[in-house]
Amino acid sequence: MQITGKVHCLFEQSGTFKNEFKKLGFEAFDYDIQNNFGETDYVIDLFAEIDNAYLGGGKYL
Amino acid sequence: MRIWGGVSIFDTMSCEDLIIAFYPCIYFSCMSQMSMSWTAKNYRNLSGRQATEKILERAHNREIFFARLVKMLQVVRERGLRLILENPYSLQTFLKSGFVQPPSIVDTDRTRRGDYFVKPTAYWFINCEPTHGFTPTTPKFRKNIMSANPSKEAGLCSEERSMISSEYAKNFICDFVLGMEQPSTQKTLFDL
Repeated sequence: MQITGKVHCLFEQSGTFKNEFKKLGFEAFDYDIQNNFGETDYVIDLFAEIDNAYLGGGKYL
Repeated sequence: MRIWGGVSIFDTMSCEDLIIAFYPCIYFSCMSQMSMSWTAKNYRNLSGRQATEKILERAHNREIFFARLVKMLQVVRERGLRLILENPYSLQTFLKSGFVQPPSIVDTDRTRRGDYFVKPTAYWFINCEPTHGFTPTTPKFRKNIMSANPSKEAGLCSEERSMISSEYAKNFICDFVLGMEQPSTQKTLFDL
């Protein structure tokens, strides 16, 4: 698989995968509602984000 | 013009990106499944009705977590985003029965790629395909679920059990995501 964009690690706050992706040269970010390890780049309620994203689905206007 | 429901972080992600979701397994794991039984150890001091209430509460929460998971997968399917979903896959874990699709990969023994735990784990690749490399790595040390530090709160996942070693993370990325061969860190019979 070729990744030309970013890597988004959802529900990860340890930074384990994020940092390994970074070592391989990728731009990577952790997203979680907690930041107990100091590695969460975006402290965010992912469940609310999923609900928002799902709401209404994709519509053509 | 196409619009997507409400505003969310998924709006900032593109088809060139990769999402890896370590979705909470608290209501899906085999430990949670055991808590659906009246004989679960955590209920030993509760009355029959109290245990039943706990089980019904857990079933309700599981439904909420399950619905959100399926919604997340549908969101990335609709948008053409590439996502890898990770979740435990041992014994009678909930996602083994009647999930939206079977996993793309099940790693039945994570210690073979350098993790501390055997802990069978499933990966669902949505809008992308896994590669199939193998980087044998001996873990620095091994742990087992029963000897790991428990959660501070009954019914929650142990933090220690949830952690993945950095060696495993690197090997997973190289073996299953990038298809990238790494210099051998462990001698095989072919190296002799």
